[in-house]
Amino acid sequence: MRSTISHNFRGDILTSAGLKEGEIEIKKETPKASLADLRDEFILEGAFKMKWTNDPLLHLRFDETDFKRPTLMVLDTRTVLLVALLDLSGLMRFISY
Amino acid sequence: MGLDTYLDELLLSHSLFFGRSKKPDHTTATSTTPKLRGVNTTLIEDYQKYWSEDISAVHITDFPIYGHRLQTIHQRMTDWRSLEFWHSWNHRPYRDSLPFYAFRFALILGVLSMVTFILTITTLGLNIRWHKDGGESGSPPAPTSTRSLFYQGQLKEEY
Repeated sequence: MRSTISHNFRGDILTSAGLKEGEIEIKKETPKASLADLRDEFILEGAFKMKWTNDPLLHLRFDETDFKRPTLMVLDTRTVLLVALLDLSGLMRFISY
Repeated sequence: MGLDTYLDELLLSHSLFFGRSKKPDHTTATSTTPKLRGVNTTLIEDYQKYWSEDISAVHITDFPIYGHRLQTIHQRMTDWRSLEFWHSWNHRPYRDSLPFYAFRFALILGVLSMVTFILTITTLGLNIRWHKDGGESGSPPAPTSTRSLFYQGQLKEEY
């Protein structure tokens, strides 16, 4: 079925959601990683720092300013609720992989 | 296939990072005390209570959108090694922590050995000086660790 959303509009929505085109391609391989250690407590006990961001593009990405101790960026709650509108509006459902 | 899991993944990622901190009494592994300041625990608790299933059963395949980023974080945590001496002392690696503790233990032993060595050398020097002075200005200033030298001094006085 042909998408009713134009390429530019699709790109704009993806940018607003903080996603890149290639990032959400379906991978042939299933990613293998344990999520057991992905806790703020465990991460902050080690070398990494954690920091809030209001840029959805940086969510779950590293800030490499201090390359010896990278900072893991996490989207703050207020921005999560803002970008939630994209999902609640139903637009994300029409963005194909 | 649409990105209809977007909001769910956002909230699930928050729940994953901040909704599994241990309580101070370590009785359960649910939310309440995230380490990072500014976490909206109410939102996470509501999400865990009403929207999501058991957080401990979450797998990376539940994140079709953010799975790649989570995998990268996991990989970075696995690969991280300290590049500086101070980091080696301060920050425990996320994986294979044995060398970290072995390094600390070795360093403490090394420092203690060095202090003992310096004390022995100092004491030896003081004893030599005392012997050269004729040993008439009282007992040598020897700590217990060099008691043998002290006894040697005592014997000389007696004879």
